[in-house]
Amino acid sequence: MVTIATDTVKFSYGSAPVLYNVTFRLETGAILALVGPNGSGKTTLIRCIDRILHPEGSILINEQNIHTMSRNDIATTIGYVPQNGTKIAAATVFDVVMMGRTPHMSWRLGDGDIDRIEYAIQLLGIEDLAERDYNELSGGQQQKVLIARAIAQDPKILLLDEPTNSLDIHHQLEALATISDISRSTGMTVVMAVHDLSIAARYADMLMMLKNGTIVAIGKPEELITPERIREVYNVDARILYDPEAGLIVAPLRAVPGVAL
Amino acid sequence: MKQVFSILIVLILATGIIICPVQGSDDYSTEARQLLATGILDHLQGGGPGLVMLRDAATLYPDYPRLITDTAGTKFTFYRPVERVVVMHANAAESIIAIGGDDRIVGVGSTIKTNTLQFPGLSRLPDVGRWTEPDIEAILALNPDLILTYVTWPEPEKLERHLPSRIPVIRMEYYKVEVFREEIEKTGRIFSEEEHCADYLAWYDEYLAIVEDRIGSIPCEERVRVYAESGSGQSFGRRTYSEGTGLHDLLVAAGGVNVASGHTTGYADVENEWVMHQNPDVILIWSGKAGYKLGERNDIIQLYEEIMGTPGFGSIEAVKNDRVYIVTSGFAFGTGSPAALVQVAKWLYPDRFEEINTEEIHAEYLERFTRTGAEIREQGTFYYPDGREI
Amino acid sequence: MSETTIRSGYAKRTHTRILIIGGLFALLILLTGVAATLGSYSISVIEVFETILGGRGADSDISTIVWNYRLPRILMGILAGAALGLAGAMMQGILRNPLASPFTLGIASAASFGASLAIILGAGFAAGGSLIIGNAFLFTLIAAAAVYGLAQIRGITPETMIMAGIAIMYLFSALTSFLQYLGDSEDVNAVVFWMFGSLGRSTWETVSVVAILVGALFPLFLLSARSLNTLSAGDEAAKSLGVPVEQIRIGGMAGASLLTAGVICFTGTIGFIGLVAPHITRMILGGDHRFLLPGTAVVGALVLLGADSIGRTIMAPQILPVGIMTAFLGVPFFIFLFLSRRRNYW
Repeated sequence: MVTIATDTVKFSYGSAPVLYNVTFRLETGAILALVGPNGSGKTTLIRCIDRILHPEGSILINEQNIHTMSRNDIATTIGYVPQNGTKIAAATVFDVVMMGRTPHMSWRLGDGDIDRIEYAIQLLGIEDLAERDYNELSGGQQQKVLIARAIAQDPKILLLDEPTNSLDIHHQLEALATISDISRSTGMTVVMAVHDLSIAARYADMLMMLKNGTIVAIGKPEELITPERIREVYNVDARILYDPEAGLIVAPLRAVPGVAL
Repeated sequence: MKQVFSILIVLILATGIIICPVQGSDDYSTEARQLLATGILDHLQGGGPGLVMLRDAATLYPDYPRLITDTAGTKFTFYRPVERVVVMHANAAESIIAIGGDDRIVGVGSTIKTNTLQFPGLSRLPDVGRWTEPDIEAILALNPDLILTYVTWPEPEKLERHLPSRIPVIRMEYYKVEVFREEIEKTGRIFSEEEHCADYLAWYDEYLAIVEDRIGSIPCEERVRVYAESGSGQSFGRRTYSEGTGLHDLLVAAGGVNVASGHTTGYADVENEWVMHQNPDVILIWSGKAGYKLGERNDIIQLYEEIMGTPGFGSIEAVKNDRVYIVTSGFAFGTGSPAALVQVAKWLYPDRFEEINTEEIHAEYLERFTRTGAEIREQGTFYYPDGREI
Repeated sequence: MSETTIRSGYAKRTHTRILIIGGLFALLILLTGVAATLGSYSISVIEVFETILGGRGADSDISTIVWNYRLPRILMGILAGAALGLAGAMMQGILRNPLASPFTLGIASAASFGASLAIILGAGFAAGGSLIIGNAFLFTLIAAAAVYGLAQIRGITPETMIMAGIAIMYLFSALTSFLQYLGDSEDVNAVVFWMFGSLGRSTWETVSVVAILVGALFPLFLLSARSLNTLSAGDEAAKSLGVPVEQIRIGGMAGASLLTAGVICFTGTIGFIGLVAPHITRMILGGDHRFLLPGTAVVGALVLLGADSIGRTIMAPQILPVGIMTAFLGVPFFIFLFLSRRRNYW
């Protein structure tokens, strides 16, 4: 069980503020989905929690302020899967997953490290790609490799930025099932930014809805996702459906005109 | 009408030429007559040097016009002696002084300008820029009737292109042995200083003859083997001078055999061990330091000591027998070179030049053919060892 | 692919890489032996090795040639090649840029300027040996500090460092050209020669200075190998994986600058190795810096020593400048590898 707590977190890129007074406290071993329209601050919040960005206010992980932690301590606590797109020079899939061991390994790659790399590669089902050049893979394959890297990192909290962005529906389901399995079996806390509300509702235990850099609501998916709130946050008329297997489904109907993003 | 008028003048001039020999002694050379006739014909066709030039040549200067072909192969016709000369480089300035034409110099290149001890008079004249980068405006402001510069520098693009065609640009080297004597003779004719020129060439020929006389009979296998280099051992390493360099020509003229001959041409970087392997009898170093610049004697001595102290060189004959010599560029090339030739020949074959006092030859050169003062004669280091203490 | 093949695949690759590095190292030792017997003074292979092993009189010519000239030159070739290769690999790693080398960041042009200043305006080249070395070293550090200072204003990223480096490079190149314009032809010749690079000035003193530098920095570079690997995934990913990105970048820059300065102040600018040795190695060994760094050191040494050995013999007794020979030798090899590789190596 880990706790993530923020207190009046504010962040701006130059003069453009992105996060205002984000304050929340999570005691969880579960999956938290950050939802909200473009520019609502989901990615920024994730990057603040991993101390890639330096916001005002405080962020506590297990009651310890991340500003007092070393880079390596943060890396052993928090894993971060960015949106893919970075070229990686002369690296095989194995090499990229091995990077996940950076905070743990000594100069030599120990047996324990290789065990963990193998585990991560198998978990994502990318054994066949292990010797391939990372840059030659499809976007979806690269995304899986990056998730495997974060798994190899063995963190207590896993941050994912749009993890299913470039995956087709088959691979979306696979990847999310994997993440959800890991979270259930190891108690790893997962925080992921997700666009698709139906996906968020299906896999997340908790939702945090953001708009214009502030928290609109936190709660269980079925409590949070209502047509009124979707209209409030997204300016979209939507119908909420329910399928016995797929669970809650958000069917967007039309954009409400006249409201600038 | 104008044409009739000019034909009339030309006829008068022509009559003058024809009449003159009848009046007195025949001062007009065949060459001058032909040139003048060509000039007149050109003028009739609308070209030529102009009436003023033709009249001066015809009436004032019996030896003119004169045809000069410079070392670059360009032909120039002079209708009267030059009066305002711009000199771009020090080799030319030195030669003009040697034949006594320096009173007609009106502008000098920067290397002459800054060389106050070698050119005490000329260095007070206006600066016309570097020998690679002439200052065209400064040159034009001096209204010269001749510019003297190197064969290849500055490129015509930088010089002739910007000048009116009436200003001749004569390109001569004044430091290359193979054309030196010819260039001096031509300079004598340009400046109308045939007598001084003959004096200088007599001195020049005398010492060349002495050396040739005494070394000419030495068979190849008895000639002294010389390693010639740039004296850069302390900075960028051994660099030898071979065929195609002035130092090579000097040592060959003095009866030596260059150990680099047949191995390299021009200058080439070599290893210390190659010099050890060649085991020369004499090591001859050239330096751009000292000479007409005072206060650089230590740089010259350092070159000597660098060779003497190089590890492994102790087993080279030249080092073992202390036959390591240095000549400076102010000594080895150009008008002073006969003195250097005798000096090098004496270093190579001391017993054949025993009674010749090389110091006196150089002192005579400085006295007769340069404008340098007493400080150069007393303190100048032109070669080493020169018998002076420290 | 089963569990065991991932593990054994890694073990096999590691094994192959170690074997390749070992093979390259053996090749280097062989080349050293060959180079020691090359030269105008005819000394047999046996005599050379007798001399090295102390079997000959210390004051013979052969001993002087082997100990005073050939060995320092060869060792300098090895150390300089290794140092320049390492510096290049480090620059390419910290800047994530295949074109980065000590030259891209203006370090070499600063050294050229320092040397030119000493040659043209200083005591001249006869007395100025140590002045040239000192000045070249000093200006290299000034350039590195300037690049750091400029880049820091906008944050130390590969982009800011390369921009600052290119600005510094052009500044020092222009200053050097200006000095050449002012200098007389003899000094300009010396500057040009200096910029070609040469191992001919090597002595045991200069060799030991470079040896100390390489000896001190190589372990530090190796220690950072893991971080450099992770850095190739981008600054953010590296930070999130626990790499102190800015420290590594500043430290790497300082280390690479020191190595470059320490070498080229003695040898003159030998440019090509820093760029190409890491690439050649990367094509052979892959991008893992734990193998890339030692591999680059050996490849750099091989290329430089090989180039110098050919430069000493091909037109003997004339020696061709090693900087030129390096390019003649390295470029075709580099192009061959570049064209014959299917895989993206960068």
